[in-house]
Amino acid sequence: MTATVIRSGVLASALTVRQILTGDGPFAPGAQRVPWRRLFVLVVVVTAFHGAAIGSLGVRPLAILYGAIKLPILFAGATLLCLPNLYVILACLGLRKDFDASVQGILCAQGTAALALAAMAPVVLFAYACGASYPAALLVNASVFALAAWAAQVALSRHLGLLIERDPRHRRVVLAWFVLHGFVATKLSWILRPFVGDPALPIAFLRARQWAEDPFTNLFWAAAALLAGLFR
Amino acid sequence: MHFEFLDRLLRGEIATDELVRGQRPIRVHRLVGAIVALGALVGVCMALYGLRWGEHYGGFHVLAVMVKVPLLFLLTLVVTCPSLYVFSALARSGLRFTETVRLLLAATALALTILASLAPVIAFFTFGTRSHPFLQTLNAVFFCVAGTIALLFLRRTLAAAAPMEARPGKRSTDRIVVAWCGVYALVGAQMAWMMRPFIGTRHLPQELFREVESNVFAGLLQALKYLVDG
Repeated sequence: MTATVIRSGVLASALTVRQILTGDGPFAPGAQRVPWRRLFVLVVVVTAFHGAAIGSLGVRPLAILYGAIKLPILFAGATLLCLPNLYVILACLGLRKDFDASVQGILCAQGTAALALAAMAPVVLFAYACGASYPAALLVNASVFALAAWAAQVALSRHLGLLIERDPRHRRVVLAWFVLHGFVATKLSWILRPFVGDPALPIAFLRARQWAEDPFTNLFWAAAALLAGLFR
Repeated sequence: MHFEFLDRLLRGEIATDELVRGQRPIRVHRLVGAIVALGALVGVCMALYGLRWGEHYGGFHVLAVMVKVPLLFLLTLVVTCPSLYVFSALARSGLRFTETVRLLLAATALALTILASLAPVIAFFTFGTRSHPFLQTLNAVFFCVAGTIALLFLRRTLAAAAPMEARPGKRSTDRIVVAWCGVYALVGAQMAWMMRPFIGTRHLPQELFREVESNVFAGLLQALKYLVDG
């Protein structure tokens, strides 16, 4: 009985994963009834899994737990903070009726990015198992996030492409979304640091004083320090 | 065990349907069997250097490398398979997870068939030269050649497996294969570095695994430097 329930649960999850990735079934562009709850649970679970993988450098249980908590916050937080602005932009352009379809595309893209991250978690864990240094771990994670962002972009263009075909003004909406979401996600990820966590430093859920720091100046120096660390 | 499918795989006679979702697809255990057998054969030829020139190497080294070569390919597959599945599903290739696994096993079997065909060359050079950096570089080149051919096969099969409506956008399949190849090559190269020694170094003691130090790219650069500087 329990085995049957587990089996059907696994099969349903596998089907959901496949439908999100291929953009079929309830996750197809223009679908009438999107299972939001299922999508939200999946994004939270999958990002928590990848967050735990990111935080496992140096195998410190508390850092793993923090990673599993912080990555879903980053994903959900950045999207929630930008959604009101998306509504306003659509309303200003007279495209308010497309709000649901736009949100559907954005959330499916988030789901795709989360799944791509989880699929690359073994690669991150393998890099850590190879004894990757802190700068190397940062580089691996940055590359993995870049690939996941590309996957999300594929899913987003699949969904929003339909809207752009119908009304080219959606192009401006997409551009505004990218700029704002990128800006907010960068700041939020800076606030939520450390994700990887330098094993040489004590474990902290958040670093001190990061609210006041400007991520864009600091990111430049962080990138420079990363490159210097790799070639040291 | 019958490996006649390897001959058909090399000739490109195995249809995509037969490989991924035909009525009678190639069984996974046959693919794994071929990988283990061919990997063991390649392993023997690689390990001969330690036996021939090493000061502390014996039968254990040969046995260890016979196990380590197939393991290297299978573990790389375990690490990279989920990402290929996600990327190929994103491109609507139509492959299910089990089909992705079977396709990757077939590509790995193909790579090992090519390596096994080059194994006598490795054995010949092992007896012909004492230069460890030369043999290291030769093996790296052979692995790259085999890997490239296997990835071309993968690309062709993925493109053929895509449903008709997705085929005009073949560029997406190509991009996915290129992105995934990068991940596979990095993981495979580093996995090989972690599972050293394969060839064996003359003056070093016999060990199952060496201590992890540096990374594969630093190691290869060093081998090339020794080779050039003499």
